[in-house]
Amino acid sequence: MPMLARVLTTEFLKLKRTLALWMVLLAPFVVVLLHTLIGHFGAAQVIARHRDYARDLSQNVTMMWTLLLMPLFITLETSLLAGLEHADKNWKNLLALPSPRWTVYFSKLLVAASLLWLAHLVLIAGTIVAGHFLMWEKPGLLPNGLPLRPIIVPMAKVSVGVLLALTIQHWVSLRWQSFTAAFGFGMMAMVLGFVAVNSADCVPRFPWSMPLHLVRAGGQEAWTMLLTSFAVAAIVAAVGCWEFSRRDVTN
Amino acid sequence: MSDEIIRTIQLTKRFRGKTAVRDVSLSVTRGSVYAFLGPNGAGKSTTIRMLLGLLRPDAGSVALFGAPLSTDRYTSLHRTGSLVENPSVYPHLTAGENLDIARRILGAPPADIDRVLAVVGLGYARGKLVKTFSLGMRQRLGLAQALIGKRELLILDEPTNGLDPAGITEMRQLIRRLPAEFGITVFLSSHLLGEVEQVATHVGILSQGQMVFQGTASDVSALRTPRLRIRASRVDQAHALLIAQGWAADVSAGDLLMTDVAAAATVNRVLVEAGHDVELLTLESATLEDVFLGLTHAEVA
Repeated sequence: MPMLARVLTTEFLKLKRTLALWMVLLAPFVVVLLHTLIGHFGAAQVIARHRDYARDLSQNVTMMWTLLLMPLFITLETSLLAGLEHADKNWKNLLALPSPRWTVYFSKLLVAASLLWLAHLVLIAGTIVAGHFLMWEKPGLLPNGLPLRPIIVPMAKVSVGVLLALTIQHWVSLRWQSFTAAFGFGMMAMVLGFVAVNSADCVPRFPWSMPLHLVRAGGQEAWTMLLTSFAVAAIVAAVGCWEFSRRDVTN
Repeated sequence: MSDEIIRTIQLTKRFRGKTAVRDVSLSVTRGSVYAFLGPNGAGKSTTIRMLLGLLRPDAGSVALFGAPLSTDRYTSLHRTGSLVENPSVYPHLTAGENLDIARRILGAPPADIDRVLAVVGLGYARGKLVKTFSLGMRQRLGLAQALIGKRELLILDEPTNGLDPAGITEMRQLIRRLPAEFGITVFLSSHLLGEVEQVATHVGILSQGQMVFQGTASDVSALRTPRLRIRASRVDQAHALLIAQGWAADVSAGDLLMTDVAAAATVNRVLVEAGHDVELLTLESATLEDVFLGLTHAEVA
Protein backbone atom coordinates (compact mmCIF):
# COMPACT_ATOMS: atom_id res chain seq x y z
CA MET A 1 0.00 0.00 0.00
CA PRO A 2 1.45 3.43 -0.84
CA MET A 3 2.61 5.43 2.16
CA LEU A 4 0.00 8.17 1.69
CA ALA A 5 -2.77 5.55 1.87
CA ARG A 6 -1.23 3.98 4.97
CA VAL A 7 -1.00 7.31 6.77
CA LEU A 8 -4.50 8.17 5.62
CA THR A 9 -5.91 5.01 7.23
CA THR A 10 -4.21 5.94 10.50
CA GLU A 11 -5.76 9.40 10.39
CA PHE A 12 -9.22 7.88 10.05
CA LEU A 13 -8.41 5.47 12.87
CA LYS A 14 -7.53 8.41 15.11
CA LEU A 15 -11.05 9.83 14.63
CA LYS A 16 -12.56 6.94 16.55
CA ARG A 17 -14.46 8.11 19.64
CA THR A 18 -13.97 11.77 18.71
CA LEU A 19 -16.61 14.36 17.85
CA ALA A 20 -15.45 14.52 14.22
CA LEU A 21 -18.13 12.26 12.78
CA TRP A 22 -20.80 13.67 15.07
CA MET A 23 -20.03 17.13 13.71
CA VAL A 24 -20.58 15.82 10.18
CA LEU A 25 -24.14 15.00 11.22
CA LEU A 26 -24.74 17.78 13.68
CA ALA A 27 -23.71 20.85 11.64
CA PRO A 28 -25.98 20.11 8.64
CA PHE A 29 -28.73 18.96 11.00
CA VAL A 30 -28.81 22.38 12.69
CA VAL A 31 -29.31 24.11 9.32
CA VAL A 32 -31.95 21.66 8.13
CA LEU A 33 -33.84 21.72 11.42
CA LEU A 34 -33.93 25.51 11.49
CA HIS A 35 -35.34 25.76 7.98
CA THR A 36 -37.81 22.98 8.62
CA LEU A 37 -39.09 24.95 11.60
CA ILE A 38 -39.19 28.16 9.54
CA GLY A 39 -41.18 26.30 6.87
CA HIS A 40 -43.47 24.82 9.47
CA PHE A 41 -44.25 28.05 11.32
CA GLY A 42 -44.22 30.32 8.26
CA ALA A 43 -46.25 28.02 6.03
CA ALA A 44 -49.48 29.98 6.33
CA GLN A 45 -47.83 33.22 5.16
CA VAL A 46 -45.98 31.54 2.30
CA ILE A 47 -49.13 29.82 1.07
CA ALA A 48 -51.19 33.00 1.39
CA ARG A 49 -48.69 34.87 -0.81
CA HIS A 50 -48.72 32.03 -3.36
CA ARG A 51 -44.94 31.64 -3.03
CA ASP A 52 -43.06 28.42 -3.64
CA TYR A 53 -41.06 27.49 -0.56
CA ALA A 54 -38.78 25.16 -2.56
CA ARG A 55 -36.65 28.08 -3.77
CA ASP A 56 -36.51 29.69 -0.30
CA LEU A 57 -35.54 26.38 1.24
CA SER A 58 -32.59 25.69 -1.06
CA GLN A 59 -31.37 29.32 -1.05
CA ASN A 60 -31.62 29.82 2.70
CA VAL A 61 -30.04 26.47 3.50
CA THR A 62 -27.16 27.27 1.15
CA MET A 63 -26.65 30.76 2.57
CA MET A 64 -26.78 29.76 6.20
CA TRP A 65 -24.49 26.82 5.61
CA THR A 66 -21.98 28.72 3.51
CA LEU A 67 -21.67 31.81 5.67
CA LEU A 68 -22.15 30.43 9.17
CA LEU A 69 -22.04 26.70 9.77
CA MET A 70 -19.45 25.72 7.18
CA PRO A 71 -16.74 28.16 8.40
CA LEU A 72 -17.44 26.98 11.93
CA PHE A 73 -17.30 23.38 10.73
CA ILE A 74 -13.93 23.71 8.98
CA THR A 75 -12.49 25.59 11.96
CA LEU A 76 -13.56 22.90 14.41
CA GLU A 77 -12.69 19.91 12.22
CA THR A 78 -9.21 21.14 11.30
CA SER A 79 -8.56 22.15 14.92
CA LEU A 80 -9.67 18.73 16.08
CA LEU A 81 -7.41 16.95 13.59
CA ALA A 82 -4.41 19.08 14.51
CA GLY A 83 -5.33 18.95 18.20
CA LEU A 84 -4.95 15.16 18.18
CA GLU A 85 -1.22 15.74 17.73
CA HIS A 86 -0.84 19.02 19.63
CA ALA A 87 -2.63 17.73 22.75
CA ASP A 88 -0.23 15.05 23.96
CA LYS A 89 2.77 16.43 22.09
CA ASN A 90 2.34 13.61 19.61
CA TRP A 91 4.22 15.30 16.78
CA LYS A 92 7.57 14.03 18.01
CA ASN A 93 6.24 10.50 17.97
CA LEU A 94 4.36 10.74 14.68
CA LEU A 95 7.14 12.49 12.77
CA ALA A 96 9.80 10.09 14.05
CA LEU A 97 7.98 7.30 12.22
CA PRO A 98 9.27 6.44 8.76
CA SER A 99 6.74 8.35 6.71
CA PRO A 100 7.53 11.47 4.71
CA ARG A 101 6.12 14.56 6.39
CA TRP A 102 4.15 15.53 3.32
CA THR A 103 2.07 12.35 3.71
CA VAL A 104 1.08 13.46 7.21
CA TYR A 105 0.21 16.97 6.02
CA PHE A 106 -1.87 15.82 3.07
CA SER A 107 -3.52 12.96 4.94
CA LYS A 108 -4.88 15.38 7.49
CA LEU A 109 -5.99 17.73 4.72
CA LEU A 110 -7.70 14.87 2.87
CA VAL A 111 -9.45 13.75 6.03
CA ALA A 112 -10.69 17.30 6.67
CA ALA A 113 -11.88 17.59 3.06
CA SER A 114 -13.58 14.17 3.25
CA LEU A 115 -15.45 15.14 6.39
CA LEU A 116 -16.48 18.42 4.79
CA TRP A 117 -17.75 16.70 1.65
CA LEU A 118 -19.55 14.16 3.77
CA ALA A 119 -21.24 17.03 5.63
CA HIS A 120 -22.34 18.46 2.26
CA LEU A 121 -23.90 15.10 1.36
CA VAL A 122 -25.66 15.00 4.71
CA LEU A 123 -26.90 18.54 4.12
CA ILE A 124 -28.24 17.68 0.65
CA ALA A 125 -29.93 14.55 1.98
CA GLY A 126 -31.29 16.45 4.98
CA THR A 127 -32.68 19.25 2.83
CA ILE A 128 -34.46 16.73 0.58
CA VAL A 129 -35.90 14.90 3.58
CA ALA A 130 -37.00 18.22 5.10
CA GLY A 131 -38.64 19.27 1.84
CA HIS A 132 -40.60 16.04 1.62
CA PHE A 133 -41.59 16.29 5.25
CA LEU A 134 -42.91 19.83 4.69
CA MET A 135 -44.78 18.72 1.53
CA TRP A 136 -46.48 16.04 3.58
CA GLU A 137 -47.06 18.14 6.66
CA LYS A 138 -48.04 21.44 4.97
CA PRO A 139 -49.67 20.69 1.65
CA GLY A 140 -49.49 23.78 -0.54
CA LEU A 141 -46.12 24.91 0.77
CA LEU A 142 -44.29 23.27 -2.13
CA PRO A 143 -46.96 23.17 -4.86
CA ASN A 144 -44.54 22.19 -7.63
CA GLY A 145 -42.77 19.51 -5.64
CA LEU A 146 -39.12 19.63 -4.63
CA PRO A 147 -36.72 20.05 -7.56
CA LEU A 148 -33.35 18.49 -6.71
CA ARG A 149 -31.13 20.52 -9.01
CA PRO A 150 -31.42 23.83 -7.02
CA ILE A 151 -30.37 21.88 -3.93
CA ILE A 152 -27.55 19.77 -5.36
CA VAL A 153 -25.80 22.15 -7.78
CA PRO A 154 -25.15 25.01 -5.31
CA MET A 155 -23.89 22.52 -2.73
CA ALA A 156 -21.56 20.94 -5.28
CA LYS A 157 -20.16 24.38 -6.13
CA VAL A 158 -19.72 25.27 -2.47
CA SER A 159 -17.98 21.98 -1.72
CA VAL A 160 -15.28 22.82 -4.26
CA GLY A 161 -15.19 26.57 -3.67
CA VAL A 162 -14.50 26.08 0.03
CA LEU A 163 -11.23 24.23 -0.60
CA LEU A 164 -9.21 27.43 -0.48
CA ALA A 165 -10.56 28.39 2.93
CA LEU A 166 -10.05 24.82 4.08
CA THR A 167 -6.37 24.69 3.05
CA ILE A 168 -5.71 28.02 4.79
CA GLN A 169 -7.48 26.96 7.98
CA HIS A 170 -5.72 23.56 7.87
CA TRP A 171 -2.29 25.21 7.73
CA VAL A 172 -3.19 27.62 10.57
CA SER A 173 -4.39 24.73 12.75
CA LEU A 174 -1.21 22.74 12.21
CA ARG A 175 1.08 25.75 12.51
CA TRP A 176 0.02 26.97 15.96
CA GLN A 177 -0.34 24.65 18.89
CA SER A 178 -2.97 26.78 20.56
CA PHE A 179 -6.57 25.89 19.80
CA THR A 180 -7.44 29.51 20.58
CA ALA A 181 -5.23 30.75 17.73
CA ALA A 182 -6.86 28.42 15.19
CA PHE A 183 -10.37 29.05 16.49
CA GLY A 184 -9.82 32.81 16.69
CA PHE A 185 -8.52 32.85 13.14
CA GLY A 186 -11.50 30.84 11.91
CA MET A 187 -14.01 33.05 13.68
CA MET A 188 -12.35 36.21 12.41
CA ALA A 189 -12.45 34.81 8.88
CA MET A 190 -16.12 33.96 9.31
CA VAL A 191 -16.98 37.49 10.44
CA LEU A 192 -14.96 38.99 7.59
CA GLY A 193 -16.89 36.66 5.28
CA PHE A 194 -20.13 38.27 6.46
CA VAL A 195 -18.67 41.70 5.74
CA ALA A 196 -17.25 40.65 2.37
CA VAL A 197 -20.64 39.42 1.18
CA ASN A 198 -21.82 43.03 1.12
CA SER A 199 -18.95 44.17 -1.04
CA ALA A 200 -19.10 43.39 -4.75
CA ASP A 201 -15.31 43.70 -4.93
CA CYS A 202 -14.50 41.50 -1.97
CA VAL A 203 -17.07 38.74 -2.22
CA PRO A 204 -15.46 36.85 -5.12
CA ARG A 205 -11.94 37.28 -3.73
CA PHE A 206 -12.21 36.52 -0.03
CA PRO A 207 -11.90 32.73 0.47
CA TRP A 208 -14.66 32.59 3.09
CA SER A 209 -17.24 34.51 1.01
CA MET A 210 -16.22 33.19 -2.39
CA PRO A 211 -18.25 29.94 -2.13
CA LEU A 212 -21.45 31.99 -1.77
CA HIS A 213 -20.56 34.13 -4.76
CA LEU A 214 -19.86 30.95 -6.67
CA VAL A 215 -23.42 29.81 -6.01
CA ARG A 216 -24.77 32.99 -7.58
CA ALA A 217 -22.34 32.98 -10.50
CA GLY A 218 -23.04 30.95 -13.58
CA GLY A 219 -21.43 29.77 -16.77
CA GLN A 220 -17.92 30.92 -17.57
CA GLU A 221 -17.57 33.05 -14.44
CA ALA A 222 -18.34 30.09 -12.20
CA TRP A 223 -15.83 27.87 -13.96
CA THR A 224 -13.14 30.54 -13.81
CA MET A 225 -13.73 31.05 -10.11
CA LEU A 226 -13.73 27.33 -9.43
CA LEU A 227 -10.48 26.77 -11.29
CA THR A 228 -8.83 29.83 -9.76
CA SER A 229 -9.79 28.88 -6.22
CA PHE A 230 -8.66 25.31 -6.84
CA ALA A 231 -5.30 26.50 -8.17
CA VAL A 232 -4.76 28.92 -5.28
CA ALA A 233 -5.78 26.19 -2.82
CA ALA A 234 -3.18 23.89 -4.39
CA ILE A 235 -0.52 26.58 -4.01
CA VAL A 236 -1.49 27.26 -0.37
CA ALA A 237 -1.40 23.52 0.36
CA ALA A 238 2.02 23.18 -1.28
CA VAL A 239 3.46 26.14 0.64
CA GLY A 240 1.93 24.89 3.92
CA CYS A 241 3.33 21.43 3.30
CA TRP A 242 6.78 22.84 2.52
CA GLU A 243 6.75 24.83 5.77
CA PHE A 244 5.49 21.81 7.72
CA SER A 245 8.18 19.56 6.26
CA ARG A 246 10.98 21.90 7.27
CA ARG A 247 9.65 22.73 10.71
CA ASP A 248 11.67 21.85 13.80
CA VAL A 249 9.69 19.68 16.22
CA THR A 250 10.50 21.24 19.57
CA ASN A 251 7.63 19.98 21.71
CA MET B 1 27.99 -4.18 7.46
CA SER B 2 29.18 -1.31 9.62
CA ASP B 3 29.11 -1.93 13.34
CA GLU B 4 28.59 1.75 13.96
CA ILE B 5 24.85 2.25 14.34
CA ILE B 6 24.90 5.94 15.24
CA ARG B 7 27.57 8.33 14.12
CA THR B 8 27.36 12.07 14.52
CA ILE B 9 30.05 14.47 13.44
CA GLN B 10 30.29 17.87 15.13
CA LEU B 11 26.56 18.16 15.53
CA THR B 12 25.51 21.70 16.40
CA LYS B 13 22.12 23.27 17.07
CA ARG B 14 21.28 26.83 17.95
CA PHE B 15 17.98 28.27 19.11
CA ARG B 16 17.59 32.01 18.63
CA GLY B 17 21.33 32.55 18.69
CA LYS B 18 21.89 30.39 21.79
CA THR B 19 23.90 27.24 21.18
CA ALA B 20 22.08 24.24 22.68
CA VAL B 21 24.41 21.58 21.27
CA ARG B 22 27.95 22.25 20.09
CA ASP B 23 30.19 19.95 18.04
CA VAL B 24 28.81 16.71 19.45
CA SER B 25 30.44 13.66 17.90
CA LEU B 26 28.90 10.38 18.97
CA SER B 27 29.69 6.83 18.09
CA VAL B 28 27.35 4.01 19.08
CA THR B 29 28.19 0.45 18.14
CA ARG B 30 25.86 -2.45 17.42
CA GLY B 31 24.60 -4.40 20.42
CA SER B 32 25.55 -1.78 22.98
CA VAL B 33 23.47 0.02 25.56
CA TYR B 34 24.75 3.56 25.27
CA ALA B 35 23.90 5.82 28.20
CA PHE B 36 23.78 9.45 27.18
CA LEU B 37 24.15 11.39 30.38
CA GLY B 38 23.98 15.01 31.34
CA PRO B 39 22.25 17.37 33.72
CA ASN B 40 18.89 18.85 32.75
CA GLY B 41 19.35 21.39 29.98
CA ALA B 42 22.64 19.89 28.81
CA GLY B 43 21.28 19.31 25.30
CA LYS B 44 20.42 15.59 25.45
CA SER B 45 16.89 15.92 24.09
CA THR B 46 18.03 18.32 21.38
CA THR B 47 20.67 15.81 20.29
CA ILE B 48 18.12 13.00 20.31
CA ARG B 49 15.68 15.02 18.22
CA MET B 50 18.43 15.61 15.69
CA LEU B 51 19.14 11.86 15.62
CA LEU B 52 15.49 11.29 14.72
CA GLY B 53 15.26 14.05 12.14
CA LEU B 54 12.87 16.09 14.28
CA LEU B 55 15.32 18.99 14.42
CA ARG B 56 17.63 20.12 11.65
CA PRO B 57 21.23 20.55 12.75
CA ASP B 58 22.77 23.96 12.09
CA ALA B 59 26.08 22.23 11.48
CA GLY B 60 27.44 18.71 11.46
CA SER B 61 25.85 15.48 10.34
CA VAL B 62 24.01 12.40 11.58
CA ALA B 63 24.42 8.94 10.12
CA LEU B 64 22.30 5.98 11.21
CA PHE B 65 23.29 2.48 10.10
CA GLY B 66 26.11 4.00 8.08
CA ALA B 67 23.84 6.18 5.92
CA PRO B 68 23.36 9.95 6.26
CA LEU B 69 20.02 10.75 7.87
CA SER B 70 19.58 13.75 5.60
CA THR B 71 19.37 11.53 2.51
CA ASP B 72 18.27 8.19 3.92
CA ARG B 73 15.82 9.19 6.63
CA TYR B 74 13.04 6.85 5.56
CA THR B 75 15.11 3.62 5.63
CA SER B 76 16.95 4.60 8.80
CA LEU B 77 13.79 5.42 10.75
CA HIS B 78 12.25 2.15 9.61
CA ARG B 79 14.92 0.41 11.68
CA THR B 80 14.78 2.88 14.58
CA GLY B 81 12.22 2.96 17.37
CA SER B 82 12.03 5.93 19.68
CA LEU B 83 10.50 7.14 22.89
CA VAL B 84 11.12 10.86 23.30
CA GLU B 85 10.50 12.23 26.79
CA ASN B 86 6.96 11.40 27.88
CA PRO B 87 5.17 8.80 25.79
CA SER B 88 3.01 10.30 23.06
CA VAL B 89 -0.24 8.42 22.89
CA TYR B 90 -3.82 9.02 21.84
CA PRO B 91 -5.77 8.69 25.10
CA HIS B 92 -9.14 8.17 23.38
CA LEU B 93 -7.85 5.05 21.61
CA THR B 94 -7.12 1.63 23.08
CA ALA B 95 -3.59 0.33 23.54
CA GLY B 96 -4.07 -1.91 20.50
CA GLU B 97 -5.34 0.95 18.35
CA ASN B 98 -2.43 3.15 19.40
CA LEU B 99 0.00 0.46 18.33
CA ASP B 100 -1.95 -0.11 15.13
CA ILE B 101 -1.07 3.43 14.02
CA ALA B 102 2.67 2.75 14.13
CA ARG B 103 2.13 -0.76 12.73
CA ARG B 104 0.28 0.49 9.66
CA ILE B 105 2.90 3.13 8.89
CA LEU B 106 5.70 0.60 9.31
CA GLY B 107 3.84 -2.01 7.27
CA ALA B 108 4.30 -4.58 10.05
CA PRO B 109 1.98 -7.59 10.36
CA PRO B 110 -1.06 -7.29 12.71
CA ALA B 111 0.37 -10.03 14.95
CA ASP B 112 3.15 -7.63 15.91
CA ILE B 113 0.78 -5.79 18.22
CA ASP B 114 0.34 -8.80 20.48
CA ARG B 115 4.06 -9.57 20.30
CA VAL B 116 5.18 -6.14 21.54
CA LEU B 117 2.41 -5.93 24.14
CA ALA B 118 3.67 -9.23 25.53
CA VAL B 119 7.26 -7.95 25.59
CA VAL B 120 6.31 -4.94 27.73
CA GLY B 121 3.84 -6.90 29.85
CA LEU B 122 0.69 -5.15 28.64
CA GLY B 123 -0.91 -8.09 26.87
CA TYR B 124 -3.93 -7.89 29.16
CA ALA B 125 -4.57 -4.22 28.31
CA ARG B 126 -4.86 -4.37 24.53
CA GLY B 127 -8.54 -3.38 24.48
CA LYS B 128 -8.36 -0.80 27.27
CA LEU B 129 -8.57 2.92 26.58
CA VAL B 130 -5.23 4.59 27.16
CA LYS B 131 -6.85 7.41 29.12
CA THR B 132 -7.35 4.89 31.93
CA PHE B 133 -3.63 3.97 31.99
CA SER B 134 -1.18 4.94 34.73
CA LEU B 135 1.99 6.78 33.74
CA GLY B 136 3.97 3.56 34.04
CA MET B 137 1.58 1.76 31.68
CA ARG B 138 1.78 4.64 29.20
CA GLN B 139 5.57 4.50 29.35
CA ARG B 140 5.49 0.77 28.62
CA LEU B 141 3.04 1.37 25.79
CA GLY B 142 5.43 3.97 24.40
CA LEU B 143 8.20 1.38 24.53
CA ALA B 144 5.93 -1.16 22.81
CA GLN B 145 5.31 1.39 20.06
CA ALA B 146 9.05 1.80 19.65
CA LEU B 147 9.44 -1.98 19.31
CA ILE B 148 6.81 -2.48 16.58
CA GLY B 149 8.27 -3.80 13.35
CA LYS B 150 11.83 -4.91 12.81
CA ARG B 151 13.69 -2.34 14.89
CA GLU B 152 17.44 -2.60 15.32
CA LEU B 153 17.96 0.59 17.27
CA LEU B 154 15.98 2.08 20.12
CA ILE B 155 16.43 5.71 21.07
CA LEU B 156 14.96 6.37 24.49
CA ASP B 157 14.92 9.85 25.96
CA GLU B 158 14.55 9.77 29.74
CA PRO B 159 12.41 6.61 29.65
CA THR B 160 12.02 6.48 33.42
CA ASN B 161 10.83 10.05 33.82
CA GLY B 162 7.96 10.21 36.26
CA LEU B 163 8.01 6.50 37.08
CA ASP B 164 7.86 5.21 40.64
CA PRO B 165 10.72 2.99 41.91
CA ALA B 166 8.91 -0.19 40.85
CA GLY B 167 8.33 1.26 37.39
CA ILE B 168 11.99 2.27 37.12
CA THR B 169 13.07 -1.27 37.99
CA GLU B 170 10.67 -2.73 35.43
CA MET B 171 11.87 -0.37 32.72
CA ARG B 172 15.50 -1.12 33.55
CA GLN B 173 14.87 -4.86 33.29
CA LEU B 174 13.15 -4.37 29.94
CA ILE B 175 16.02 -2.31 28.57
CA ARG B 176 18.54 -4.86 29.76
CA ARG B 177 16.71 -7.63 27.85
CA LEU B 178 16.61 -5.81 24.52
CA PRO B 179 20.17 -6.32 23.21
CA ALA B 180 20.41 -9.91 24.39
CA GLU B 181 16.96 -11.18 23.41
CA PHE B 182 16.14 -9.03 20.41
CA GLY B 183 19.52 -7.90 19.11
CA ILE B 184 18.52 -4.26 19.54
CA THR B 185 21.04 -1.52 20.17
CA VAL B 186 19.84 0.94 22.80
CA PHE B 187 20.67 4.62 23.02
CA LEU B 188 19.38 5.88 26.32
CA SER B 189 19.45 9.36 27.79
CA SER B 190 19.11 9.99 31.47
CA HIS B 191 20.12 12.19 34.32
CA LEU B 192 19.56 9.37 36.82
CA LEU B 193 23.08 8.04 37.01
CA GLY B 194 22.61 5.09 39.30
CA GLU B 195 20.01 3.66 36.99
CA VAL B 196 22.03 3.67 33.79
CA GLU B 197 25.11 2.43 35.64
CA GLN B 198 23.39 -0.93 35.89
CA VAL B 199 22.50 -1.33 32.23
CA ALA B 200 25.01 0.66 30.17
CA THR B 201 27.88 -0.82 28.24
CA HIS B 202 28.94 2.58 26.92
CA VAL B 203 28.63 6.06 28.34
CA GLY B 204 28.65 9.53 26.83
CA ILE B 205 28.46 12.59 29.05
CA LEU B 206 27.15 15.90 27.80
CA SER B 207 27.63 19.19 29.63
CA GLN B 208 26.41 22.56 28.46
CA GLY B 209 25.88 21.18 24.97
CA GLN B 210 29.33 19.64 24.64
CA MET B 211 30.57 16.06 25.00
CA VAL B 212 32.90 15.87 27.96
CA PHE B 213 33.35 12.11 28.04
CA GLN B 214 32.70 9.15 25.79
CA GLY B 215 33.84 5.61 26.42
CA THR B 216 32.94 2.17 27.67
CA ALA B 217 31.53 1.45 31.10
CA SER B 218 34.96 0.15 32.12
CA ASP B 219 36.53 3.44 31.01
CA VAL B 220 34.19 5.12 33.45
CA SER B 221 35.21 2.69 36.18
CA ALA B 222 38.82 3.65 35.58
CA LEU B 223 37.87 7.23 36.39
CA ARG B 224 36.47 6.14 39.68
CA THR B 225 39.72 6.42 41.66
CA PRO B 226 39.65 4.90 45.15
CA ARG B 227 39.98 7.27 48.09
CA LEU B 228 40.22 7.26 51.81
CA ARG B 229 37.44 8.72 53.93
CA ILE B 230 38.37 9.68 57.48
CA ARG B 231 36.02 10.98 60.16
CA ALA B 232 38.09 12.54 62.90
CA SER B 233 37.43 14.97 65.75
CA ARG B 234 38.41 18.60 65.23
CA VAL B 235 38.43 18.11 61.50
CA ASP B 236 40.01 21.45 60.59
CA GLN B 237 43.00 20.82 62.86
CA ALA B 238 43.25 17.26 61.57
CA HIS B 239 43.21 18.56 58.02
CA ALA B 240 45.97 21.05 58.78
CA LEU B 241 48.02 18.33 60.41
CA LEU B 242 47.77 16.04 57.36
CA ILE B 243 48.73 18.89 55.04
CA ALA B 244 51.70 19.72 57.29
CA GLN B 245 52.79 16.08 57.05
CA GLY B 246 52.84 16.41 53.25
CA TRP B 247 49.62 14.55 52.34
CA ALA B 248 47.03 15.88 49.95
CA ALA B 249 43.67 15.94 51.71
CA ASP B 250 40.32 17.66 51.30
CA VAL B 251 37.42 18.24 53.63
CA SER B 252 34.02 17.20 52.31
CA ALA B 253 30.80 17.00 54.32
CA GLY B 254 32.80 17.02 57.59
CA ASP B 255 35.07 14.17 56.52
CA LEU B 256 38.66 14.14 55.31
CA LEU B 257 39.20 12.71 51.83
CA MET B 258 42.57 11.48 50.62
CA THR B 259 43.66 9.78 47.42
CA ASP B 260 46.83 8.25 48.93
CA VAL B 261 45.08 5.07 50.05
CA ALA B 262 48.35 3.28 50.86
CA ALA B 263 48.90 5.70 53.73
CA ALA B 264 45.81 4.61 55.67
CA ALA B 265 47.61 3.04 58.62
CA THR B 266 50.16 5.84 58.93
CA VAL B 267 47.51 8.54 58.75
CA ASN B 268 45.49 6.79 61.45
CA ARG B 269 48.54 6.61 63.74
CA VAL B 270 49.50 10.28 63.15
CA LEU B 271 45.99 11.47 63.91
CA VAL B 272 45.64 9.34 67.08
CA GLU B 273 49.06 10.37 68.34
CA ALA B 274 48.04 14.01 67.83
CA GLY B 275 45.02 13.45 70.09
CA HIS B 276 42.29 13.16 67.44
CA ASP B 277 39.53 10.58 67.81
CA VAL B 278 39.25 8.64 64.56
CA GLU B 279 35.65 7.46 64.31
CA LEU B 280 35.79 6.17 60.75
CA LEU B 281 38.49 5.26 58.29
CA THR B 282 37.31 3.60 55.14
CA LEU B 283 38.38 2.95 51.59
CA GLU B 284 35.77 3.97 49.03
CA SER B 285 35.42 4.27 45.30
CA ALA B 286 34.22 7.47 43.67
CA THR B 287 30.65 6.94 42.53
CA LEU B 288 29.59 7.45 38.95
CA GLU B 289 27.86 10.52 40.27
CA ASP B 290 31.19 11.91 41.49
CA VAL B 291 32.70 11.26 38.08
CA PHE B 292 29.69 12.82 36.42
CA LEU B 293 29.75 15.88 38.64
CA GLY B 294 33.48 16.24 38.18
CA LEU B 295 33.12 16.15 34.41
CA THR B 296 30.12 18.40 34.16
CA HIS B 297 31.38 20.89 36.80
CA ALA B 298 27.98 20.75 38.45
CA GLU B 299 27.73 22.32 41.83
CA VAL B 300 27.22 20.06 44.80
CA ALA B 301 24.44 21.37 46.94
